[in-house]
Amino acid sequence: MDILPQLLINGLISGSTIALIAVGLSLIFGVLKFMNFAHGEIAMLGAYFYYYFFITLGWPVLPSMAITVALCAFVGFLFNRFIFWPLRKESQWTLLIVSVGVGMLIKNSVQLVASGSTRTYSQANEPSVVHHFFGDALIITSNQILIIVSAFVLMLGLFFFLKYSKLGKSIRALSDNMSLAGVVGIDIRRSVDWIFVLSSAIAGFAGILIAYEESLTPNMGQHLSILAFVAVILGGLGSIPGALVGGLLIGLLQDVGTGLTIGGYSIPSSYKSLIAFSVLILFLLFRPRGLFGISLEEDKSQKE
Amino acid sequence: MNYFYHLATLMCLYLLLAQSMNMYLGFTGILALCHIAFYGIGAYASALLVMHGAPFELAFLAAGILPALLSILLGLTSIRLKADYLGIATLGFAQIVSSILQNWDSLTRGALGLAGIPKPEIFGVTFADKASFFYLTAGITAVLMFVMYRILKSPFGRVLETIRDDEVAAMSLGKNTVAYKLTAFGIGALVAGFAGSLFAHFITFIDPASFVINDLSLILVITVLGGLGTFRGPFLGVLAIMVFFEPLRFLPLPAEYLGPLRLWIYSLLFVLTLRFVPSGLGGLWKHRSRRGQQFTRY
Repeated sequence: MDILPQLLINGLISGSTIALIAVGLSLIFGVLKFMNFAHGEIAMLGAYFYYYFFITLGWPVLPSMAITVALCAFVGFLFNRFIFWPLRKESQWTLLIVSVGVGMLIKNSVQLVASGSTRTYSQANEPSVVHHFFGDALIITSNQILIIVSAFVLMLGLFFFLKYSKLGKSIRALSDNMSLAGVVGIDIRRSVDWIFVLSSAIAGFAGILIAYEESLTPNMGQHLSILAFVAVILGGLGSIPGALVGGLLIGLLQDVGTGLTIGGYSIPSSYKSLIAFSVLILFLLFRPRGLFGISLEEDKSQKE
Repeated sequence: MNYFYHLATLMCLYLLLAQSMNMYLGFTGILALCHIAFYGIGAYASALLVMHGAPFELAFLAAGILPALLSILLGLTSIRLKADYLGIATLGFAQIVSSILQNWDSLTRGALGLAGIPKPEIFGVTFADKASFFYLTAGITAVLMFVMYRILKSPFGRVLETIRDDEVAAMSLGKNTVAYKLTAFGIGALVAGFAGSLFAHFITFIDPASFVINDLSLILVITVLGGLGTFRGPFLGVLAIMVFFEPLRFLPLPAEYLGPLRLWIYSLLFVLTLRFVPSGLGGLWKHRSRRGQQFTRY
């Protein structure tokens, strides 16, 4: 049981980054009513943009992050304006499969430019600063502290933004009832643009954080998409706090599930993705609306 | 000449894969993204059985039946789900299959893959060279295509299309839509497994990397480019891809760029097709541009 605190912290770290991606997914689902399969790929793109500016060009941390986030936001905007928005009146089915294609496009672009090999941000000559807590029971690098802090600050910021700002209120109005929001004078197209800009920016930032912890491959986006989907379904479709909690839960379950040995049995870490998938199946079977989701009677996820 | 036989065999395999995916994706409207997993299971099942001494005929049948059974198990838990949920659940399934292929070392030899898969031998005839293997593949493809054509044109096939267009209407006619969907899904997996078996014995080497989601993009682009929900769609899609994009292989570029470049072009084609001609090549000449009816039939 000595390693439990360490596992909890690791789970919290990976969970908070998944939560950031899941929130964007949930926001997009709120307005266009489809699961964006390309969303995890935006996070992957962010990780690679940052690699380019930070490692290849050698810029300092903050400017590289700023330009990465801006570029991701712009990519999200472009895909919305030229692909998703014109197709918004088509069936959910069409949007879904188009987003699969957009995801493949992003991934193959990165693969073409940056090659498929695995990369990391860490350089051999730069040892990471390690903090010890409770003796040696808990070891956290300063990077990890930064990840947790920035993820939570971002989540809080997003929460207040959605709750109190004018744009945030109109975004919530849109996901509640799009035509009614149009009637009261909300510029729907502009708001949807902003949703894509915002969620892609957050996803890009999450991508950087994830790549700091793990490594970069063009295939990571697919995996992130699935984890974010599971988080969204766990928390309840269309619920922003649900997406946050779902993301944290998935991270915790994955790390605690593979790290813990109970009675001599443990799950090998190569089967980490199995945990998320099993949780997904269980939820789909027994509680399809998730933890905080609305009941099926008042389900607004279908198009009118 | 051998290259053309090689290419023609691959075309048959892609045709099988695209048409079997079309069966549930295009005709029935089941958004399942695990076709590549069925293909992989078929390939591994067939290769392992033959390498452990089973005759090819038996291995071929098993390669189809195993994915079909798995697809029904998967379908029982998830086929009632709405499109987004189903897409995710099946994508998760595909990931699990590839992670099992990669990690179950004692059976699949993990990332090393299976090498030296014997060429098929049917009733004492060995299909060892490219030409004879092509005739075998073409024969099997023709039979399977004919069967799928008859299925899709039968009353059964019409119910599938009704389910895609309006599931509630199909239910109100007393059709057990879940059973119909499961059957369509199962047939798709069956044919994909057959294709996997042929692929394994054709290339004689398989590894988990051949069955990752990446390769789904080629099948998807063939199906979508040709036209979802049309029988001629996959034919047109395979022809278009092979005639116009296979020559890309001969571009004077280093190999590490060529592969990704082709995939990039495929995915771009995929997005552009759905954005501007949702009914694909197959729907072009009778394209009715009524909104919301993008899968209008021929």
